[in-house]
Amino acid sequence: MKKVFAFSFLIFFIFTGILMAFDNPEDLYEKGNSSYENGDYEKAASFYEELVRTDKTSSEVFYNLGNSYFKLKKIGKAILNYERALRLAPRDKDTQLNLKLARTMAVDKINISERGFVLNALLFLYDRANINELSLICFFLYLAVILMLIFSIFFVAKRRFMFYTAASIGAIFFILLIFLFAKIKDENFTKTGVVVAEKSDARSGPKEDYLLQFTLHEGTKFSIIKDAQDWYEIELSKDLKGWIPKITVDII
Amino acid sequence: MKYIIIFLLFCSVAAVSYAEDMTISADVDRKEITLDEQTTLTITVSGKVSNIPQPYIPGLNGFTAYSSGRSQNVSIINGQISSSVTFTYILVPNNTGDYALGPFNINYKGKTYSADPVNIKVLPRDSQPSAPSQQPNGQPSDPGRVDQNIQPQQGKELFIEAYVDKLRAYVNEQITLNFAVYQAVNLFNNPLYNPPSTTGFWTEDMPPQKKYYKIIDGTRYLVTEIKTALFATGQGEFTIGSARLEATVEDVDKVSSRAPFGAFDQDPFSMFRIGKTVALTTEPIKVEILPLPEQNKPADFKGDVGDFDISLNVDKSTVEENQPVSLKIKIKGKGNIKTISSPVAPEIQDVKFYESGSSENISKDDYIVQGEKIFEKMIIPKKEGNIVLGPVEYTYFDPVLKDYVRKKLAPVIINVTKSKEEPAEKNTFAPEATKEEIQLLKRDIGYIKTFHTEFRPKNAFLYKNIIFLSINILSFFILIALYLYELYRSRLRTDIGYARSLRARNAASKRLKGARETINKNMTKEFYTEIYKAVIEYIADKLNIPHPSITKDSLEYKLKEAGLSEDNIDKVKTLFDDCDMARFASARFTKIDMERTYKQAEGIITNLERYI
Repeated sequence: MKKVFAFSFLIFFIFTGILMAFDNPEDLYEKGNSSYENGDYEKAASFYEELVRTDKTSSEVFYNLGNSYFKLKKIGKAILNYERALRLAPRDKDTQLNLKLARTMAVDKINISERGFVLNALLFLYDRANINELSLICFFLYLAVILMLIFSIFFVAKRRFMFYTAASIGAIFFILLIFLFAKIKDENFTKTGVVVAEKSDARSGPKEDYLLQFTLHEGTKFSIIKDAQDWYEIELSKDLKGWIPKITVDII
Repeated sequence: MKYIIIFLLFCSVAAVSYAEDMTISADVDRKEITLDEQTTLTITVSGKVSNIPQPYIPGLNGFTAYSSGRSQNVSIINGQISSSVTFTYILVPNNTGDYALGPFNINYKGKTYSADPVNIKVLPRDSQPSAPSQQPNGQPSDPGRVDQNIQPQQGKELFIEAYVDKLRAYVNEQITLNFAVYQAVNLFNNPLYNPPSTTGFWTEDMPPQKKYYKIIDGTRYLVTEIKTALFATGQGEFTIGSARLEATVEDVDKVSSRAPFGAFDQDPFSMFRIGKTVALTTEPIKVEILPLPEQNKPADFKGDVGDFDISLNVDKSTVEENQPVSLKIKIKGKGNIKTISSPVAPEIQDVKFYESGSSENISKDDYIVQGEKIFEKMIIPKKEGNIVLGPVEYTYFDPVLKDYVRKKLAPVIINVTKSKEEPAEKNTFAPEATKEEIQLLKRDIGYIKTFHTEFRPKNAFLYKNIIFLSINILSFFILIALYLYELYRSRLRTDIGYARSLRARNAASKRLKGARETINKNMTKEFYTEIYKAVIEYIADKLNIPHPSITKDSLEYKLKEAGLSEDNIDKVKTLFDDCDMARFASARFTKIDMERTYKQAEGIITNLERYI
């Protein structure tokens, strides 16, 4: 009986998988949306997941996927996908609100240190632009500097003015360039994960035998320091480190 | 006579102490005085120095001293400086008895000089210490006054008295302090009046001064009365201090004492009257202040004593809700108006009270402090209906009845109607009006997005895009290229030698090309001219030498300077010799010769290009 069940399950997955493989992203998106509208969140999530598994994505897909998981009470996966959506569209109010709401439903309370007003103002662009937008802004500033310098070569009379303008734009350019590098490092090189299983035990080493240090619950976000086979060494704060099994978490 | 003796004494003392540097002496003009009189203390310091220090005056026990100035006298006799300073003090006795003032010391150059103490006898008021004067007969009568310490100084042209209308009073009950000046002589100046100290009392001046004439024992006095109302602030025994008056009066004593001598020492200027300063003080008055009886003391009694009446009025009896009504409570009567505090207004629901201040109006008719105090309140009814204000009650203590009196006012009814203007008005008066917070029943996530932006590959980051990166790098190279180009152009503009040397090769090639064409046409002369020009101009351009100034000799020198080898210089020289031969000696040169020369010229230019 069990076997039959498993078999039919497999058949079903392969079948749907084959079906989906031939769908283009737009169709998958539409199918997901209509399933969601009909209240079939499970199906909606699977469509969206399929879409995400292809190379093509957009922030809306992650957002809708987050919503589907939220409805399915899978807070960890919801938070994971909202975070992914925010990386693509950092200014999206819906995503921000939903993420906030999802976080309140997470079990672990992690103190996120509040930044002061000044720091918030300084990092205005950092918080509100994604990597590509920041790259473009940097690019235009860079072009402006280059153009100014070219003009300063040929318009001898205004050379001084042009040069100083170029220098000021250049200063802004360098600040934004630092932002850009920081953002690239944060999102593409430092791996951040979210607990998607109900709970995840953090041990002192990458094996079940090691001492259990603390337990994380669904939805908790952490950064990954090391990767060792089936385990990640994670860091919650300066003094909270541990090894957790890979299957319990997902990387943003 | 006395003065003469003193003077003689002084002189003798001065004579004895002449040998010393400094002398000091002290004296008074009268050694026996009564309490109302004063004496002048004179301290004289003299010496053969130009600046005399201030003497040390010990505490003048039993007297109040006033400095009356100093006079200095400096004389130079036979080159000898001597000066004397006189310090004058007016002493006013405080008590009777014998006093010894001094000794007075002066310190000069480490030496101490001292003057002997001065003895003064102070007699009671009624005794006549010195000059006799008219004797008034009998006591002055002043009915209606509490005769306690009032002893008009008989035989005086000027005396003062202070008395109160009652010696026992309740707390906060008015006591009238009377200060009267009796004068039968003219005063030279405005008298100086020091009011008595009234510690423990709330005082209220009661102008105007009352002036009238009164005959006491046949003498007509001008009486000036100054009244002050006193309200005791606590119970017990209080002392009203002594008042003091200082005045300059016509010195009758002197005039009368001179009379016996008649014409002998008749003052030819007798019309200039002589004045003397008189200081007068009154006895302190002890007053007993009774506490207010505890018996029957109402709870809301606030300490007002006197005789009061209370009234209340509102400016309108019908009002819209949230519109203000002004309420006035007036307390009118006799007593210490200033200390009256507001009667308690009863709390009424749906009504807001605002204190808007109080005003008082005090009059002192008949020398009794009276008047009214009005407390104003603003009432803002919040709901329609009738508001009942009151009954307002007010309690005070009547010292005449020796009991507490309670006045009660009938309640005032204000009819509040519904406001015609609705919420706006309400908000202005009720800023705390409750607004409903939006109740968050349960939170749900936002709905899914049905549209979507373009699907993009996950790793489609611009910074990984080759085209994007190459545009960035390319633009940088463009900048550098343009910069180098500009550097080159500016050198061409500014450095003629550089420009010429750059142009030299091209110009030479052009000339050689021209020469080449002449070979075929067999124009030997033209050919050699061109060759010559091509080479020499090339060298001139390269070395930045003006063409006309070039000669073969200078050329050789210049080429050597430029670091060209002998071998090459020889080649150039041979070429030029050939050219000269062809151009000027009209020697026969065949086509083959010309071809050879052409090659030589080309070789030279290529060679030179390498070295210069």
